[in-house]
Order: sequence, then C-alpha cells, then structure tokens
Amino acid sequence: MFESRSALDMYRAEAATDGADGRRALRLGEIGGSHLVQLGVYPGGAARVAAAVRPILGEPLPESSVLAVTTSERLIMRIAPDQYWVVGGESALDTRLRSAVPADAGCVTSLDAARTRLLIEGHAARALLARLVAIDLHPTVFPIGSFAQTGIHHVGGLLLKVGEDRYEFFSLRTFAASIWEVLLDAARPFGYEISLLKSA
Amino acid sequence: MIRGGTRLPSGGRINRARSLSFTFEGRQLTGYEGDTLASALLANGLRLVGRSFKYHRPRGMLAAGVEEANGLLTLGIGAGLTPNVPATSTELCEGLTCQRQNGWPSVEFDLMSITGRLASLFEAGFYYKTFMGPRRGSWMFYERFIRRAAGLGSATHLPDHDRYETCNAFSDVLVIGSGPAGLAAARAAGRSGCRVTLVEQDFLLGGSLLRAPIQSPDEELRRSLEADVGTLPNVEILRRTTAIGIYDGLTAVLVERRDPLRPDPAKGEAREIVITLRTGAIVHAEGAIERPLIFGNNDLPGVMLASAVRTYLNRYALTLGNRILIATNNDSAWATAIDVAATGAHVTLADERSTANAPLHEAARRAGIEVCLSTHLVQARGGRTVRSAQLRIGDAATTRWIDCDLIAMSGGWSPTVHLTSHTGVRPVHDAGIGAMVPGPWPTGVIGAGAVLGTGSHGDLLSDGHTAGTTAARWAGALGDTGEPQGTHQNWTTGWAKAVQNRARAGSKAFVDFQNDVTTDDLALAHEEGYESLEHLKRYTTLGMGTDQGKTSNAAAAQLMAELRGIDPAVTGSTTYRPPYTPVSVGALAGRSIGEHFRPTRRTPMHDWHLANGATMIEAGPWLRPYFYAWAGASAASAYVPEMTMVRTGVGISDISSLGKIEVQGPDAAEFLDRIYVNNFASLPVGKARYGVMLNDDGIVLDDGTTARFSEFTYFMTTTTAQAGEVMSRLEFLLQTAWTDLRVQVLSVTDRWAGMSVAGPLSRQALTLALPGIDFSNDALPHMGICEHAIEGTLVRVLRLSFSGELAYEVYVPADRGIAIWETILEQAAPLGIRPYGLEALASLRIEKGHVAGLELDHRTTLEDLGLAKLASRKKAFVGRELKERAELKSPDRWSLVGLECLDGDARLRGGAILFSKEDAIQGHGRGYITSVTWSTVLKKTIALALYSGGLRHEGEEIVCAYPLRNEQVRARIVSPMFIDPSGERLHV
Repeated sequence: MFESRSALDMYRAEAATDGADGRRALRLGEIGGSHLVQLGVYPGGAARVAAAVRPILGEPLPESSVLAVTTSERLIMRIAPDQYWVVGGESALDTRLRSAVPADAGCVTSLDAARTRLLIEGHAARALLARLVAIDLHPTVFPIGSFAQTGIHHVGGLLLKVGEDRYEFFSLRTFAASIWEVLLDAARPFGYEISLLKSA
Repeated sequence: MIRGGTRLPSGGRINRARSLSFTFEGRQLTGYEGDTLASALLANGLRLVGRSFKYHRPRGMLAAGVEEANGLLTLGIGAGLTPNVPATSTELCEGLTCQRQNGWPSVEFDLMSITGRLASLFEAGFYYKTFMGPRRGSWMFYERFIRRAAGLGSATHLPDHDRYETCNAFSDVLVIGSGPAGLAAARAAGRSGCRVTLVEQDFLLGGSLLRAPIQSPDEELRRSLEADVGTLPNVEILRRTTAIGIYDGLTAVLVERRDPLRPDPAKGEAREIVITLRTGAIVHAEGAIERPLIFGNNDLPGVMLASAVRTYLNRYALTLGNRILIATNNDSAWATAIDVAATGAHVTLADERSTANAPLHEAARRAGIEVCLSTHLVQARGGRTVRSAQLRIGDAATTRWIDCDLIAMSGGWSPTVHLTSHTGVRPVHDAGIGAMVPGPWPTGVIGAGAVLGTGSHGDLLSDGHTAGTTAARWAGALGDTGEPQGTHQNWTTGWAKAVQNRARAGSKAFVDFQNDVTTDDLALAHEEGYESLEHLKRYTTLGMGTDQGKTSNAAAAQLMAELRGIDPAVTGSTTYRPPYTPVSVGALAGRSIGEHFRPTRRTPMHDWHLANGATMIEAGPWLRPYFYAWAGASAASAYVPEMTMVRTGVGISDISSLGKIEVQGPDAAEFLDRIYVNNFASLPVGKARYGVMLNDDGIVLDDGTTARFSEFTYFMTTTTAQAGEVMSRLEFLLQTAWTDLRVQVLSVTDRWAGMSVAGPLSRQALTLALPGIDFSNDALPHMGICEHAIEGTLVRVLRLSFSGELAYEVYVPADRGIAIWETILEQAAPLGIRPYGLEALASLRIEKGHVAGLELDHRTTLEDLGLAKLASRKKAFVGRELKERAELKSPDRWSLVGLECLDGDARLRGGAILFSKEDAIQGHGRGYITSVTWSTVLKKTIALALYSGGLRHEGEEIVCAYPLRNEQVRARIVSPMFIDPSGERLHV
C-alpha cells in the first residue's frame, strides 16, 4: 500500500494556544478519511442523472444551491446549476455512481485528496470566519446546513455550516497549508486547540 | 509655560476615580479616564501644541474633535511611533507617550519660526516659482531641504510590531453617527427588528449632546437614548469606530481603534481593525462641523472654536480662560458664552448680527455677559497665546481693543457631507447656511439631523426616527418602530450665512490652519488665474493634509466665489474621497503581511523536497524545487549535474504544478477541436497529443498535452502559469458561447501529483518501481498513455517528453504523491536516479527548443513560435480568423530562433537586446533573448530568442547587447532545436 498523506502533515502539529483572555474558544483541525465526488450533468441530461443516482444516494439531488442535503452516510451539495458534490466515507462511491450515470447524460469525477477538509469549531468560530470570509454567517442568513463557495486569503473554497458553532472549509489541497497557517494566525486572539478527526 | 486650562473640582464626563498617567516630552503627567489627550494636555496647562506647517507659527488646539487642524502630535516611540495624530480625537490611556512636532530645536523655542517673518517670500506656489531652476532637475536638490523645513511629524522606518486585522460584517441598517438624530434612527430601526449597526468615532455616544452640561435636559436625553438603544439586542454599537468610506452596493469601510484597550500583539490583539460592512440601508447622521471666523491672527493659541470651548468645559471640566471673548455670527456660540460665564469668567460676546434671539439675549444678560451686537472681530494679538482682540462695530471707522486670554469663535456650521459624497453624489450649495449639503440620496441611503443643513425638519429626534424607520422598511423589516419620544431642536440655532473675511488689511488671516493658507494666498491664486476650487487646492494645498480641510473648505469656496464675483453654488466643492479621517497603513494591510502577503501553493511532494535538500523557488503562487543539494550548493552549480543525469541516465522531477483539467462528455472531442488549433477528435483512446490554443485575437494563449483516456474522457495539461486562465476560458466558453455542448470541465490540478521520470534509463527505472505496468515500446509507445490501479492506487502514465529524452509523466492521487515518488527513487536507485529541479528542467527544454512561458508571452503567434504547421485548415477554432491579420503575417515579426554564443566564456543574458552586426547599438533592436542556458551537450552557452525575420537569418552572426552591464556578446542564429532534431531519442 502506498501511504496516504495529509497536506497538513507538517503543519497541523502546532501546539494549542491560549487566547488573549487565557481561554481557547476554538477547535481547529482536519477531517480526514472522507471521499469527495463531483457529479456533472450535461445539457438535457438532468432527469436521467437524477433518476440514476437516486437509488445510490437515497435522496433526490438537491434543488437548492445554498443548503446541503445531509444523510447519515453522506452530504450532497449542488455547487453549480449542473454540478453536485457528494461527500462520504465510502471509497468506491465514485465507481458506483459512474457505473450508474449514463455516459451521455453526466459524468462522475473523483476529487479524493483534491480538497483538504478543515474544521472550525467553537463559540468564536463565527468571529474567526468574519476575519476570513465575506459571507454573512448570521444564523438567520446562514442556518445549519448552509454552504457557500467563497474564499479565504484569496483562495477559493467551500464553506459549510454543520452545527451551531461548527463549520467546515473545503480548501484546495495545494493551498491547504497556507490556509491553515492563515487560520491559526487569525485564531490567535481567540485561542485554539488542534484536533484531527476521521470522517464518520 | 502659558496656562492652557484649569480643571474644575467637579463636573465633566470624566472618571476622577481612575487617574491615568502619560508621558509628554519626557514629563510624567496625569489625566482621567474619559479624557482625550487634548483635554489632558490642556488640563496640565499646555497651550502651545505645535508649530504650523509652513511658517512655524505657534499653534494651540483649535477644536475638540476630528476636525482638529493644529493639535497634531507624535504618539509612541521606536517601532510604535505614529506621527500627526490629532490629540483631540485620541482617547487618553495609561502609559501613552507623546511629543510635539515640527519645531527646531524645539516647539517652545523654534528657530524655524523665522519663516513667519519672511512670509512674503513664502506665498502660494512659492516652491514652483522658486525652485524649478536654474536647471532641469534642480528641484531634486532643493527638495530635501524643503522637506526638512516644512511639514509635520516624521514617521519611523522601523517595522511596526502592532497587529492589525481586517474583518467582514453585515447588517440591515447602518447608522453613522450617534448624535440625537443618529441615536433616534438606530432606536427606530432597531425596534423594527432588523439588524442595526451604529457607528460612533468617539468613545462616548451622544455627538453634539456631549457638549451640554451634565446637569441638563440634553444630558438626560442622551442617557435616555443610549439606554433605549442599548437594550435592543439587534443593535450593535461600535464605539471608537469611524466610517472612513462608503462604496458601491451599500458597502461601508469602518476602522475600529483599540489603542485605549491596550492591545497586546503578543496575544494576538489587534490595534486597529478594518471592517468591511455590507448593509441594506444607510442612515447618514454625521452632524456638522463648526467653522472658524476669518480675522487677523486667527491662528493664535487660545483662539478656538466655540463648540470646542463648550466641550472642554462641560465634557472635560476645563476652564480655558478668565477673560473670554466669544465671537460669532450665529446663535450656537451663545450657549458657550452662557456656560463659560457660569464659571465666573469675564465674558464678552461679539455677534456680527444686528439682532439676537430674545431669550438668549436675556439669558446672556442674566449671566453677566457683555453683549456687543453688529460687532465683528478684526484681529487678535499675542505671542504664544492670545492677549487682546480688536473689535469693530458695524462699518464704523473706529475700533476698540479688549484684553482676553481666550477667543471662542463660531462662523456657523458646515454639514459633514464627506461620506454622503463618496459614491459620486456631488453635494449641493445651500446659500442659507453658506455650506454644502448632501446631494440627492441614492437608493437605500437617507440622512437625518444636522448633516441635512436646513433640509432637516428642525426636530432631530423626529428626523432620526423617520430616517431609521424608512431605512428599516427598505431593509424589509416591518416591525413597529414606535414614536420619536420628545423633541430636540438645538441645531436649528447654529446655522449662519457664509463666513466673511473680516481681517484687517495687512494682518495674516488663516483659512486653512493646517496648511498655513491665508486669505492673501487665495487672492494671489485668483490673480494668477486659478478659477477652479480643485486647482486652488493643488496650488495652495488648501484642504489637504490630515484634516482634509474640514474647517476650511466652506470658507475657501465662499472667498473664491467672492473673488470671482460668482455664486458660491458655481464654485462647488472639491471632491470628497475616502478616508474621512486618516487610517494606519498597517490597518489596510491587515494580516496580509510578511509571508502571508499572498497565499503559497505547495505541491504534494513539498514536504519531501524540504526534507531532502531542495532549495525552493517561487513560480507564481507555487513553491517549486529549484535545485537539490546533491548536485551543488547553488542553482548555477547544481543544474549542470542535474541536466547531465537526465541526458545520460535518469532523473525525477516534480511537475505537479502543471494545470490539469478533466474534459468529459459526448461532445468533448468537438469542444477540444474548437479550443485547440490542431485536431483532437481524431486522437485515439490511449494516446496523447501536443496542442496549442489561441486567444480570440489569434495570439497564442497556452500549450500543453491532452490525453484521451476513454471515448468521452480527456485529461488536459496546461502550463503552470496559464492553468487558471485556461480553466476560466473553457468554463466561459461553455457557459456563454457553446451552451449546447454536452461537456463538463473540472480542474483536477489538486487531485493529481505529477512527476516526470526522464532520461535514457527512465523505462528501466519505472519498470523497477512500478512492475505492474508494461513500459515496453510496444505497450507504451511515444505519446502513449495508460491507467492502472496499483495496490489500490490509481496511476496514470503519459509517455511524453519535455527534455527531449525518453520520458514519462506519472500522475497519482495527491495524497499518495510522496509514497510513489519515494518508491521510484528507492526502486530505481541502482540506476542512479535522483531528483532534479526547475533550473535543470528549464535548461533541458531550451536544448530541445520547446517553448515555455517566456516565449508564450501573449504577444507571439503560431508562426512566431514555429508552430504554424500545427493549425488545422479543415476546422474552425478559437482565434482562427484573427490570426490571419496582415500585421500577424509580416515576415519581419520577431520569431523564434536559437542562438549559440561565439565569444567563448562570455555570458548570454536573458533580456539582452539583439542587433545585426551592422546595426548601431541603440533602441529596441531586432529582438531579444527569452531563455538562456549552458548546454551540457554542446558545451557552450545557448539561448532561445525572438528575432525579426526569425530563421530567415539562420547562420548570421548578431550582437547581443545588455546595456545594464554594458556588455556586447556575439552569437550565431541557429535552429532552436539544439539536440536531436529528428526526435530519435523519444522513440527508443
């Protein structure tokens, strides 16, 4: 087996740091072990793709492009009118979807390892993110389940709200170390702990 | 020292229980919590706070707020030093250090004040008239002396250790200003249920109400409004925060100053935070700024705005004089007179108007104030403080002098229209108040209170309430906003007609205090033909500097209009631009400093490179291995062994930074045919092809290799530099021009780690490392591709070459990059494989004559690069029509050639300008060198170049000139393919 490595192997071992008030209001980390698949739909192929993937996903493809569909096994986000992300722990998901989707209606591409899934959690999470992304995260505007394609430090990524004070940021892998450093720097006044999570 | 002021034993909005110590020019002084630096200095008796910009005249505080023109100090020491900070808007905090500026050897005893005696020499435009000769460039000589003599404080060159941050915020309604109108607006909007942000630059809420005595109906109103707003959880109150700019889309930029909170950078606490606030509606409630009067020596220390005198008395419990002259043209200064009279001072009130408001007159009489109507101030006298004043009654020839130690002046009020104008709304002139008022409100923007000038309804609470309710409705909030609750009309008393020039002829009367611009300067500028206010500003510097003319613009516009004999409405105003008040550069930079100036992109093998002796180099955002320690200690020494290894054995190089795009769909072949100049529909599955794409204008955009992994799946690679642009272009065309094509494009640059295994032994190396793949010539011929799962890891191999040697590009999932890289190095170690860096990679391609970013410079055509034969004549593709433009077909265009150095050890240099042997070495020449290297094969320096006429001149000797080093080297034009022109090495 060829060993799988995180883009943050060299960087995430930073020690926990107290905030200005001596507390640690944030938990920052990486969620490993999840798989990411992009589902693309060709013009005229939407109905056939939707029908083909429904038995595998167990849910219809979402119409909303701001709210994710969350099931116990996976997360589905409509990231563009004709593009969806499916995130889950199943390694063969891309193969299963690819075999189901008619080749003239849509395509399935694995983005495994192409994104680094960062965790931002704690009661200062929203305050921290206000320093990094130009998205209104007020609960009435960005409720749990909301996602937005935005950027941190000039680099595009996808921000997802998974809990009241819990967010995930899907960073491009090659920028992940840079984003991580920016994240820790911005988190400095709030204080933070580092955690590494395996995807459920 | 001349007494500045005296603290009263009680009163004011200061916390006498909390004493704060600070250092002023080495002396330990104390003030109270709630003081500004200005009030604390005045309380400690300071009156002379600085020397003026040009004439080094003694100056004292003029104001008590952000409009201050004189009281600029240098705060902090060492790396934390900040010059030109208005003491009047600096909140006093423990340990603050400050000093005065622009005096030599000191502000108290300033030898440079001689310039004041020579004032007639330093008229407007003096520098331009005097220092431009005798020769061109003379200014450069004079400049350093002038800069030393004139100016304000000096900045430090030390790096700033403080932390600054930037932040985003959102609200439904933004209210700017917390005076009575702003508070009423915030209360109404807040009651509607929407999200309200109330911004106040001061550390206390209340605006104009803070000028009133603490035992007064105004103070009761202030407390009640603050309590009302404070109980609304949906109203966020930002104190110490200035709205510095308003931008399109209802966006405001705010700066929060946290110095008084003593932020510790070591704990990550920011000194200033720049907040970009996006909102649904804006209520402007910035109020108005009092204007100075114009009379002789109106800049003497002890001449202050009447509102400031009242503020220092009622907010900071300071008396600033015992014999006080109040000079005014409106009602508002009468309140100052009545308040200061109550301290026991002898007060004379000179009002330019012939009648006065009867209740005010009665109140003044009761307070023992000597009231002089139809009386104006002609000039003041004094040295480091004012000592007497000359009054003239009506137009009488006679005048009278009175002794005074403080003059409180009021020339009426100018609405603070700065922010209302930032989005391009020109303010309009209001003759009734001699000032500009906001122009027509854009959608979602409304004003309330004094900022409206006479457009206010008079009752500021009603004004604010209506504006707050309107803004909330715009933002979609429907909740009941209640009633205004009470009235507050003080403001209507402050308006006055424009300020008149009352100065006695021959005396120096200042219009702009900070820039030392006098009425004489305006007259001179007029005589010299400066008609526009914008030109006047640039000629005299009026309205420039840290205060941006907050106290001078209205008077300047009025005086200019009078000089020209036109209506002030025609004179208009200068253009107000952000920032409203000065901002630290550090705050604008935020955390984008040092190594975080921009993001860095690391390849999947980055950590391995660092651990194994690579020196990295920036390539756009990427960090790529430049060279490795095994080959040498510098790029210059390392790249030759690395090249030799690839030419004679095998090496491995990280090419993960190449752009990688998955192109999929039934119409993918058609799509690629339209994008590339050459044919891709005919590319069989299992093969790769080199392709070139053009911009619409027929100029080369990018090149790369695209491989076909299945009927509907292509794997495109682009150059590192153009990856983003190519991806954007593909998406753009699919989303706008070719919406019918059944194609999906997806950037997989981050998905795949890429490595090039190159050299005559590369097949053996990979066979050792990845035994599950058949690398034989039959199974994987030149431009052949394959895809295998090895131990559960997907591996894509493309047999193609950048170096000109037998080579393979190996792509694996990014998380396995290091594992596979290490496997190849370990398994092929018997063959001597080692990594090579970017310098060797680039040099190898020069020997082979492959073009790269230096040649694909967005100016070259297919013909220029020797790639014309690639273009299909049978199909349409982007750029096909415009590449046929006559200009692009000229035979004299600069096109690709190779160069061989003819001067032995001499160096060819990238960027060298090329001339024929007969040419004079001047001008832009006939072309330039794009890429240079030492050829390990030819044992000489070779180069790629663009040369007029290209290979038509093959064999000719030319001159490569490098003027920066005064070098001229001879070279011969040759084919750019220095090695293996027939490509035999690729097919072994």
